[in-house]
Amino acid sequence: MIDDEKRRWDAGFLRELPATMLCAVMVMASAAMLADHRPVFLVPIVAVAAVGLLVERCRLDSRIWVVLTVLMVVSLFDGWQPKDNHEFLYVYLCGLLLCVARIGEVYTKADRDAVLAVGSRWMLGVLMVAAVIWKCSTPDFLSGEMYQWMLLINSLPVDVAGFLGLVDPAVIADNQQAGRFLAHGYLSDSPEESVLLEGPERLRYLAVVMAWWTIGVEAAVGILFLWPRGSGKSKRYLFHARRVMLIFFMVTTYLVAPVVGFGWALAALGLGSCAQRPTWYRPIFLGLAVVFLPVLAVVPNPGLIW
Amino acid sequence: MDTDAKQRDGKLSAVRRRLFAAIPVAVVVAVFAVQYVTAHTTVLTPWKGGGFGMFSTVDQSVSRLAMPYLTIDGREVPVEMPEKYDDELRILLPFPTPERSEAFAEKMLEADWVEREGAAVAVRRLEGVEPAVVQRHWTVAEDGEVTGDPVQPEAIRLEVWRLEFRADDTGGGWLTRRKLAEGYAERPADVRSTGEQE
Repeated sequence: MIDDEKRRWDAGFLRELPATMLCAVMVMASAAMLADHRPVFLVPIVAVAAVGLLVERCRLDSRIWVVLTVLMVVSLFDGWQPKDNHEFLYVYLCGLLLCVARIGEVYTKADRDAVLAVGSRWMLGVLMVAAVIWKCSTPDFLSGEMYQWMLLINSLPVDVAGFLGLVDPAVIADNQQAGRFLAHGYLSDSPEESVLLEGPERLRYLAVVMAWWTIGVEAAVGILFLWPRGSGKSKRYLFHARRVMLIFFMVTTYLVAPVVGFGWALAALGLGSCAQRPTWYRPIFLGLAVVFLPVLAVVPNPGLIW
Repeated sequence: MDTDAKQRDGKLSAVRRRLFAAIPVAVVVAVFAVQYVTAHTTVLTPWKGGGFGMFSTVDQSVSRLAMPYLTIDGREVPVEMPEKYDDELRILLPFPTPERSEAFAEKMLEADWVEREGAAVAVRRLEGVEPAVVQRHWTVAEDGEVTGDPVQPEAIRLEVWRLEFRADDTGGGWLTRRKLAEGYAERPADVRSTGEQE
């Protein structure tokens, strides 16, 4: 009975979702990548991804992932300096799906799903740990100064300080003006090398809380996804803890900073980590990717909704 | 094990499955290691380079500043960075090594410059686009019509700065700029004299 249920899940529309998802991401992210990738690379990337998206047989074929991976690598290193981390992550994902597709061709579906699940899990863990290492080795993050600066000039995508009523918009405007003076003051007769940004003391506490909250959540996701699988009950708890923590991270982080491109990649990895097991986490990750993240990106200031 | 069982359970051992899964993950780790070391030993911003250092520091591309100085008639004058170079700046600012800054300054030196109301600005070479007029003032540059005589700068010095923020006890703090790199390009003396004769 359980096996029948599993087969129904596997035969449903959620089958091969990570590959489908990544093809869709490549097509959807093309607009975001337009600024950094030359059309000579971007057009074939979108075309190949679109073929993969529309034709199931193609997206399970390792050759399509070879082409996509090569195109993405070449495009990435054609002026890599301004490219965002999620554009690197797309390349890693293409590489992972290339390995997975090839294993599916040479070995069995069970082998393919296992490699996809383990690879997605490790990749999620490693990238979260990398993010935590960066944050823990940067003094202005640990002290909360990075978030404080962003809050003082309102450079976060969502006006957190304004939403919480911590900073007067006039103060923000003055701080932004001071920043412009620092950037362009060298054209004047009295260039300054420092300017004072003003803000209430409560903002500092908020910034410190945000910094340590970020470290805590990212470290939790990283550790959970890299933790050995165990057996029995602990294995089941760990399975749920990982996905719940990743969903919690995505919801709480992208409410404040809706970096849709990165969120899509995380959703694809989240789906990949569920490859061996039919589970409701799959539609949840799908919903995050196709509803939650795009809505956040479209709504100008989602912090104000609530 | 029969064929069906093999299909269901797979042919690969757990160790081999992990080895295959480790291949792309090893690439992630390697790129992170290279980016982490590079960002700590050079001028690469932690936000870029694929090491997942975004949102870890104030020092990101948009908080880096490029300040060009032209040498005209032996006198150095600061000028606003012309909008023409926006795309190139997006590539320079995340990783402004002295060599790359110098190459950028050389590229700027090749442009046509005009003087207007005491300010030298680069003439856009793009057809159909009005040249940018940049005032020697700290306000944001505005587009407009360029009038004035062409100028051949003798040299261009490009300074690249980064922003740092230090909080004080009040809830605010000091935003400071610190120089990261400098590039310098000089027009050869023979080219300069030829231009003057023309």
